[in-house]
Amino acid sequence: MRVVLRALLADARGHKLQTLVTLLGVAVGVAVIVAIHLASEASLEHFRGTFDSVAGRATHELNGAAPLSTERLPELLREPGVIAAQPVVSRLAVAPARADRPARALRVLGLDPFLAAPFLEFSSAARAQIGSARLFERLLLEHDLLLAPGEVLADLGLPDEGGALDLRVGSTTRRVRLARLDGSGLARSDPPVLLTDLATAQQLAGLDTGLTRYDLILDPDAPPPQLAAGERLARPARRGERADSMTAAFRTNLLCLGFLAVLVGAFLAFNMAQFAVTRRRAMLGRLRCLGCSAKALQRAVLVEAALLGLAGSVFGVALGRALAGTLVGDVARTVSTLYGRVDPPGVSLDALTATAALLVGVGATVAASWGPARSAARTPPVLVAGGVVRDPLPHRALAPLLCVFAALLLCVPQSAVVLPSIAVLAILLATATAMPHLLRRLLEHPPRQLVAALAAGRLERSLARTGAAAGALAMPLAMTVALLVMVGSFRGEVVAWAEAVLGGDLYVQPLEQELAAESLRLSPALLDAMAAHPQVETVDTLRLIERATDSGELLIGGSELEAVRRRGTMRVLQGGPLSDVLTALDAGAALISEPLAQRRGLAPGDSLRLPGRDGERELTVAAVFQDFSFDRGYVLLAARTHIELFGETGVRNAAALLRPGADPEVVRDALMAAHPEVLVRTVAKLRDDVLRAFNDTFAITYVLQGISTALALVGILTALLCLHLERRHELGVLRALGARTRAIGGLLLVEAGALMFVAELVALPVGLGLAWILVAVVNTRSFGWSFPMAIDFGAVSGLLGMALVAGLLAGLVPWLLTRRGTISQLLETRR
Amino acid sequence: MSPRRVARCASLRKVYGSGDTAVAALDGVDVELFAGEFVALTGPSGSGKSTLLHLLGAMDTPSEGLIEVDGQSLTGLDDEAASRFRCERLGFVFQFFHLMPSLSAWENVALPARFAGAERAESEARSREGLARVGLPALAERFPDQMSGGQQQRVAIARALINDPALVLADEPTGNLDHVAGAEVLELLAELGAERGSAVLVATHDPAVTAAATRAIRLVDGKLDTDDEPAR
Ligand SMILES: Nc1ncnc2c1ncn2[C@@H]1O[C@H](COP(=O)(O)OP(=O)(O)OP(=O)(O)O)[C@@H](O)[C@H]1O
Ligand SMILES: [Mg+2]
Repeated sequence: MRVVLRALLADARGHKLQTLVTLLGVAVGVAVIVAIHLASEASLEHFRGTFDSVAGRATHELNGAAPLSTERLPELLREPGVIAAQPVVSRLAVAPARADRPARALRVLGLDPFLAAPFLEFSSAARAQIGSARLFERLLLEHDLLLAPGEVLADLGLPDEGGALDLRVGSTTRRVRLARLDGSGLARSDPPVLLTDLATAQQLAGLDTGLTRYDLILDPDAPPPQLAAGERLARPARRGERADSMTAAFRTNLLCLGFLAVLVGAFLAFNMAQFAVTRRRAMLGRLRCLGCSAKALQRAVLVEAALLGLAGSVFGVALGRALAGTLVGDVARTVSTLYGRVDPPGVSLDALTATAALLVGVGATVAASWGPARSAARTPPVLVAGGVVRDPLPHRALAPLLCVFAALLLCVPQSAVVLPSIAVLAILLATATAMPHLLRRLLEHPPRQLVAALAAGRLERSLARTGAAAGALAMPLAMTVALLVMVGSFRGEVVAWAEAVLGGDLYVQPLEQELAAESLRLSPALLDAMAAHPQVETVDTLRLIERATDSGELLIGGSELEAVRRRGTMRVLQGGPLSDVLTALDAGAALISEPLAQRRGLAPGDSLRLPGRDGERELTVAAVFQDFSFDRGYVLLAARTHIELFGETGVRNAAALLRPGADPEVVRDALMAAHPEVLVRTVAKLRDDVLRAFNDTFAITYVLQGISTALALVGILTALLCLHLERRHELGVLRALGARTRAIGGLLLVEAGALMFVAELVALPVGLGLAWILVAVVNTRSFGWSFPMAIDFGAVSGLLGMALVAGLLAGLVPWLLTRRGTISQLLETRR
Repeated sequence: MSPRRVARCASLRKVYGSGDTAVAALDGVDVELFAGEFVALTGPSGSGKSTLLHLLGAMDTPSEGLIEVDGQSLTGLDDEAASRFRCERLGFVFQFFHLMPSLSAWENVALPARFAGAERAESEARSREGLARVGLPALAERFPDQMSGGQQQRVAIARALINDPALVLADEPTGNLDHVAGAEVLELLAELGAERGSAVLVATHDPAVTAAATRAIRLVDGKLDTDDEPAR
C-alpha cells in the first residue's frame, strides 16, 4: 500500500494545478462552515451584549413596594435556586438645562462591583479599561464619582475625566464628577445610564441603605426563592423583550443556516475529492495492471483523500476565520457609521468549531473518494486510450424520494427546528442528485450551431461530473437566495408592522422601572395635561397586566384604540374587516396576538377564559392581529372591558394623536418639561428605535450573505476549473483541427453559461423553497409569527446575475490558461 | 516535371526549457516534402519526431529556422491565419485517435470542414463520403466508444483528409493498433494521400510503415541522420 500511496502522491505533485484546485475546493467548503458559524456566534454574542448590558444576564428581578434591605442578600444566596444575586439601586435623575443644552434625563445605576461580575456583559475593551484605570476601586473610594460612555459625556458637554455635573434626583440636587467608560453598552439604553457603586447611588437617591431591587440569576430547574411579604419576582424590564424575541428568532434562523452551511460545504469538498479520484481512473487501472491488489489500491486512495482533506480543511479553517473576521469587522463599522459607535464583535475560533470543521472536511473527502475508489478497484483495468468511462448517474428516483421524505418531515407539526432542518438537508441533497438528470433533459435537443453543439456534447458526455459541478454551483446559490428572501421577508414585515402599529404621534411611558411592573403607571394628572394640550386631539391609553391563565401566562391590555379607529393602524390577520372587529371589541370581545393564536390554536369565534377580579370570565375572540412586540400571549381588550374585568389598574403608557399641522417635537418638549418622570418620544424616534434594534440584529445577515456569495463564486470557479482540467486535451484536438482560439473561448463560455443557467434555474425555486421553510415553518412554529414571503426580485436577480457573470468569467479562466500554452502542450495533457 | 514541393524546413531548431535544463529537441533540421510522397519519419524515442510534426502543423513555434508549407511561411502567423492553415491545408492523425467522444463518427469527420466554414449539410455529405472511402459507411452514426481502435483510426484518417490537405501528418498512427488494423490504416493513408496528391509524413517505430513508405527520414538526437529513398 505504501508504494501505491507514494505513486498517488507523486501524481498529485506532478499535477500541481489539479491538486491545487482540489485543495482549494475542499478549503472553500470548510471555510463556508467555519465562516458562517463564527460570524453567527460573533453576532449573537455581540447583540446579547448590546441589548443586555444593563439588564445584564439577570433572569429575574426581585422588587418590593418599599425599599429592600441589604440584609436580604445572604438569605437570597442561600436559596438553592439562586445562582447569583446582586443588590441594585436605580433611580432616574435629571441634569438640569444649561445654556448650551436642554435638560437631560439620565439613570443612576448603583451596583456592588464585587457582586456585579456575573451580571455584566461588558465588552472586552470595557473590561480592560476598568482594570487598567482601576475604575471600580475609584468608584468605591470616591463618593461622588459616576461612569458614563464617551457619547453621553459629549452630549452633556463634559470632558472625558473629572467633569462636574449637577444631578437632580427627586427634589434634591447634588454635584457629582464623571469619568469615561466605553464599551459597556450603557449609552444604548434610554435614558442613558450613569454607572456607580451602591453607596454613591444610595446617597444620591436618598435611600440611606435601602435598595430598589435585587437582580437574580435563577436556576430554571430549581424551585423559585421564598418571597417575603411585599416582594415580587419579575422578569427583567420589558424594554428588552422585543429585542429578546427577535434575537431568539434570529438565533433559530442562524441555526438552520448553520446546518445548511455544513451540507453545502461538505458537498463542495465532496465534489472536489470525487474529481480528484475520477481524474486518475486510468492511472489506478495501470496500477492494478502492475499487480496492485484491489484492497490495497482502495486503501491507498482513501488515505490519500484523508491527507488531501486534512490539508484542504486546515487551509479552509484559516480561510473561514479570516473571512469571518474581516466581514464582521466591516459590518460593525457600517453599523457604527449609521448608528453611532458599536464595538466590533470579536471573532474567536474555538477548538470545537475547528475540530468539527476538520472532521467534516476530511469526512467529506474520504466519503467522496470511496465510491470512485471502489469502482476503480473493481472494474478490470480499462485501456487508457479511446473511450470515456461513463460514471453512473445517481438513481433517478432518489431526488423525488428525498423530496417526499422532506415533505413528510415538514408535516410533523411538533418539530419547530430539528425536523425542518433535516428536511432542508434532504431538499439540498435532492437538488444535487437531480442535477445530472435535469442537465440531460436540457441537452436532449442539442443546438445546431457548431460551438454550442460541441459544448452540449461535451456536457452530455460526462453528465455525472458536469451534473455534480452544476449541483456544486446550485447549492450555495440556493442557500444565498434562501437567506436573502428570509431576511427580506422578516425585515419587510417588521418595518411594515412598526409603521402600522405606531399610529399615534407621541408616545409616553413612565421612566421609573425600579418599581414592580404592575405599579408602573402614568399619573392621571399627566393624562389630563396631555389631553388638555391645545395641539392634542385625543389620547390613547394602554392598561397592561400580566395574568396566569389556563392558556398560559398572558399579557392583557386594555385600550381605547383611538389610533386604530382614526387611522386604521392594526393589521388584522383573521376576523374580518377592522370596523366589524372594533364593533365586537366594544361589545366586550377580545383580540389576540398571532403567537397566542398559533400556540393555543385559537381562532375568531373561540372563547377565551380570563381570571377577572370577580372570578373567571369567558370572552369571545373577535380577531387575530399581527404583533411582534411580545412572543408571549397578548390579549387586547377595550379599555372599558379591561376596567370592568380587572378594575382600574392604571395606565402603563399612552399615545397622543395631534391635531393636523401640530409639531410633535414642540408638544414633546412641553410635556417632558412639565413631567420629568415620563419619557416622551415622537413616532419618528420610536420607529427609528425599532428599526435600529432590527438593523443591529440583522446586520450579521449581510455578513452571511457576503460569505455565502463570495464562497459560491469561488465554488463556481473551482468546479468549472476542475471540469476543464480533466478534458482540456480535447481543446488541443479541436485546435489541431483548425478551431480558432475565439471558438474555444466560445465553447468554454457556452459550457460555463449552460451549467450556470441550469444551476440558477434550480437554485431559484430551491432557494425559495428553503426560504419558505425558514419563514413559514420554522418561524411560525418557533415564535407563532407568520408573514408572507416577500421576494425582493431585484435583489434575487441581482444575485443570480452576479453569479452568472462570475460563472462566465470563471469559464474564461481555463481559456486564458489554454491560450498561454501551445497546442502540443494541450495535447500532451491527455497523458 | 519534378513534383510540387509541399513543405520545407531549413535550419529548424526547437529548444525546450532554458538555462541548464534546456533540451534541444530539434537541432538544425532541413527537410523537404513533395506532393504524393509517403514519408516515414523514424528515430529512437526522444529524437524529436513529434516535435517536428508539431512544428510542421503550426501547433508549436520553432526556436529558430524557417518552415514553409504549401508556399506559406509558418513563422509569425496570427491565430486566425494559423487556424485557417490547420483546417484547410493540414491533416493530422494522432496515436490515440483523439476523436471527440461526444460526436458521432460523421460529426467528427465533418469538424475540420465546419471549422473551414463549410455549411452543415455540405460538410455532412462530404463527411459521409469520406467515411465510405475509409470503408465505414455503416458506422457514420456511431460514437467513438462504440468502435474498435482500428475503426476509430480510420475515422480519424477520414477526418484528416476531408479538406483535401496539402500535408498530412501522422504521429504513430499504428502505435495503438494490432498488425491487421495497423496495416489497413497504413494502406488507407498511403492510398488516399496519393489519390489527393498530398504529402504524407508518418512518425513511427513500426517497420511496416518504413517498408511501405516511398522515403524514410531518420532523426537522432534532434539531428537529421539519414534521408533516403528506400530501395524498392
Ligand atoms: N514540452 C516539452 N518540454 C520539455 N521537453 C520536451 C517537451 N516535449 C518534448 N520534449 C523533449 O524533446 C525531446 C524530443 O521529444 P519528442 O516528443 O519530439 O520525441 P519523439 O521522437 O516523438 O519520441 P517518441 O518516439 O518517444 O514519441 C525529448 O528529449 C523530450 O524529452
Ligand atoms: Mg513522439
